[in-house]
Amino acid sequence: MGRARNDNVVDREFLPHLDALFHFGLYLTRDRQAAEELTQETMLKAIRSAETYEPGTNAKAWLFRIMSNTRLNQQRRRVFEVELNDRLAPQSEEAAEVSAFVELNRSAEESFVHSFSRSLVREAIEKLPEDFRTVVILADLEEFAYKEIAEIIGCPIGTVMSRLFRGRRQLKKFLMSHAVELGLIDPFAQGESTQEEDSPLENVTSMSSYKRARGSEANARGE
Amino acid sequence: MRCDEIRRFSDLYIDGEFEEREKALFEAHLQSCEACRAQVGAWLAFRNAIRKKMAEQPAMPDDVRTRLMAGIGKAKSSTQHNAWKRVAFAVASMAMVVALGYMVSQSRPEPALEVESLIAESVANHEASLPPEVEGTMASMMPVLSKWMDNPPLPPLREDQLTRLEGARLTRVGNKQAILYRYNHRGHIMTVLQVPHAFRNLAAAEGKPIQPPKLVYDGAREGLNISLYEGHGHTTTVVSDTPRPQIQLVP
Repeated sequence: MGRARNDNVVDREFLPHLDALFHFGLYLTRDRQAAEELTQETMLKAIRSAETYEPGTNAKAWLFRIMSNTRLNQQRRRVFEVELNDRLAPQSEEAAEVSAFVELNRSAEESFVHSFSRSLVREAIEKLPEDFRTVVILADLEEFAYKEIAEIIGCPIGTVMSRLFRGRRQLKKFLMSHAVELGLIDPFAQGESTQEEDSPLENVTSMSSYKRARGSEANARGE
Repeated sequence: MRCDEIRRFSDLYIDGEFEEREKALFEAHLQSCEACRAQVGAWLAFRNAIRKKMAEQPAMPDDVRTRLMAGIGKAKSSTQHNAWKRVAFAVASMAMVVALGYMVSQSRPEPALEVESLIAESVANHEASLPPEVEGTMASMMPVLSKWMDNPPLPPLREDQLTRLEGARLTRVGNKQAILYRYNHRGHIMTVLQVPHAFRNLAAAEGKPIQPPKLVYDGAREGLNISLYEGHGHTTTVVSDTPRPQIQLVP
């Protein structure tokens, strides 16, 4: 693989995702300096491994996986090698059109979010635990399919569903309580919407068998 | 589907993650249930509003972009320089992977790396308990399975009075196609994941005479019983909350 080819791949397929990577990094680290470093490290790793990337496949998911792994390594929560040569499935074409079927209920859920500033919504997202935050961002900012998210963060798809379920509901709770504080919603009129919803998939996350799986992998490597 | 299932799976629906059949079941319920329709509509509106807010990103600051691009330029010009180092490193890491794989294969019955992640995947699938894409007995299921994959494997468990096949769905484990079966065993749901050629050592063993399935791992976690069998070119995991399932694998 020649250098010219790699440069080509970097320019055509990696660089268009630079902004998205930086924003993902900002949400992960909640710090501009750290996000810049994380983006830089991700791009350097991607360039060094460019020949293991199959041109024309899902570059964005591939790059996000590198960033997600780099972040995890930084935190030393899980230590594992970035598996760069696994190819990701091609990006799903589009989410199914469901809005035509259900009537959008604009009354409460949407209007209270719209009355918030962007920074308030960001603040609420940043309050989510990092595991949940990562999945919410990948699903709602980047609109990756669950399967892609599973591959990016290296977790079973059940874990993705569970974290997204809980993350979104926690986010709604944060925002609702802000809305009540600001007098945007009458807490009594909205009693139904603020009620707790338990994740049906809760056990998937709490069982943490995945973490143990990773732990034993690290042990097997003598780490 | 029931109202509680609508609530559980509304994220999958609004995110377009359902298969056609599940989507149809979901929508059939919505059509007949105004409360669920309103709730799913509200949830979709909330998700859309969040997405809209998140999409309003401030642009990357110019100074950040300049520094990033400088670093990227440097990295591009040094990749060629390091080409040989990388080859040497790759050879060394491959040797390590081989050595590690050998060590792991010697350490049974402790679950090996991939066994462990397969178990995690199976338990997660059992907990998520998605509805099957195809329901019915083995006979009615085989035509659908052969649409999913060439030479589909037989459903792994033998059916008897205690054990009944209820349905299946196509899934993936890592980059491999796999089938997730739902059995009913003495009134309990039993999740069975069948992965063709899950492990490298099995792939290498191809061509040898087919062995009857062998129990490789048997254990419990999170109150669930998990057993893992290898044989016939697939790996099969069985997850259930039944203390001692009396099951037999298809020989």
